[in-house]
Amino acid sequence: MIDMTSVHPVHNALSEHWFEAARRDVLLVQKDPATGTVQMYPRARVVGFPEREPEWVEASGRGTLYSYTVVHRSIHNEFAAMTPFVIALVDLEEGARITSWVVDTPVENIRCDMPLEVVFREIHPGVKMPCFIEA
Amino acid sequence: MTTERFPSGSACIVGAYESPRRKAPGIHPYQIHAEVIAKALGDAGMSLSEVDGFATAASFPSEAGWQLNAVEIAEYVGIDPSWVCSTDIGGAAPLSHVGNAVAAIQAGLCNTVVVSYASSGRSWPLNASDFNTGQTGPGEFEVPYGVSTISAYALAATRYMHEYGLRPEELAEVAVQARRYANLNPNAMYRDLITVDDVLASPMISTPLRKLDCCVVSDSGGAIVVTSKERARDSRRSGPSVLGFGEAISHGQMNQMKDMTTTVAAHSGRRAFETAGLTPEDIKVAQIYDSFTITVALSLEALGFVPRGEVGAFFAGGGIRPDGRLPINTDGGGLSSNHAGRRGMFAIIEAVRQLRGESPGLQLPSPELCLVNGTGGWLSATATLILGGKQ
Repeated sequence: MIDMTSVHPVHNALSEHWFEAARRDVLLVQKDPATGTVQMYPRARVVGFPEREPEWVEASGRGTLYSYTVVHRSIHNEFAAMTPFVIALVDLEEGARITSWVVDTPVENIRCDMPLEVVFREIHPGVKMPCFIEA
Repeated sequence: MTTERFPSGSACIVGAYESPRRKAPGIHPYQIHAEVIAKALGDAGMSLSEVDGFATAASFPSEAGWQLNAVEIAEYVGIDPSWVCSTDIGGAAPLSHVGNAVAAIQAGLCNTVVVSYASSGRSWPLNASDFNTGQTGPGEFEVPYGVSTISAYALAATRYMHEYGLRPEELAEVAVQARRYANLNPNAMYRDLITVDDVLASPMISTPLRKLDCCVVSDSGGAIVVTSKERARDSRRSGPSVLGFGEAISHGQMNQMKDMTTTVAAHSGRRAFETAGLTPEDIKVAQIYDSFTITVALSLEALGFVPRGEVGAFFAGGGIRPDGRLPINTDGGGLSSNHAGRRGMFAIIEAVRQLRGESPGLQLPSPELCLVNGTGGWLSATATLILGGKQ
């Protein structure tokens, strides 16, 4: 069984496809075949149109920083050991927003709307996910 | 645009009680449910046998709810309702319960509803996650990055400050005023007066939010009694009518919140004003869910009390001071008095006390209306009530 206090993602048939790509340093997003609209997080169907299935497409990895917070305190052991770290909401140039981290960037350089590019990091043991650096 | 419909004025809140408990290690939340239900019914001059409707939300670990939580709490207290509601929209849930109770009473599903809430938010002995959702499904793409409740609100604060230039010292005014009213309230969790400098000197938790930008964490509970206007005429106490109601939901994951500088109180508030036939100009005192200082800032603009982008100037200009345009959170709010998990319950109770002339904090001279706005989750959902006009 899975530890309820764990923060490690528990995959299902759909999400495993995305995480498998991330392990190869590929950022996948989903596109509505009818309108071209890009969605994240991945879903089995197009959000708002459950009759349509989205297609997987590879994102460029470029985006801008919509917002961020520098976490100084956490009550969760795993994150408390990582502070300070920078949680980010990133608007990908394809049009979807994802949650991530800004890494390897001095905090004083971080500002909303700054251009970013994707890097892949093992953010927890065995869990590789996209992070972003200053472009 | 649809025309909002709600049976405005058809039901009243005739009983209200907030537990004086703030730190209650070892006390199970169901004990607090029983205590506050007894007191709220006593306030109304009613007995449990008359209660045929029940609403609560107890799905958080600290609320001990597990599955079927409304069923188990009804069982513990001994309520046999013909109408039951356990809508969970986070801390706004008690407002949703009241609005839906009024509709259920009007529809004839029940006559007298108890809405109760209790939580061992501070002292719950079992493991409770700090994360918004589980790490499966949608949460797989956010929870591993450590987005806690505080950092979720911090993300909104960062964006709002970027777009509109709100300054931390302006935001701190919300915490300073809350403490000022808590100083008057003998049951408030923290009562020592604080200054803007104290807020700015408190430890940084998640930029730009510091410790004193965050609500207290208490063990407490509260209950209210809602009944038909006809039954209310015979009750022991008078209480306000429910004049307006609206609710709205936004997002579960922060990456799905489109515009972080506002909340869906824009919708729930509009619905509440429309069903009450009132406008923000009519409201002179309000209870605005203050999980964090930024929650108040975004809510006041979304509700139409302050033009978009101007809330910093509104705070700096004394807008929420006792003699300002809109005194709020007159009992000391969640920031200083009481926040066990779903502050919405205490916000409604303080609105009732304010309209009865019984606020333990800042009592305004004979207010006729009080707006209550609840914000649930991580700016995920809102519900708005407008109370006033004794039966």
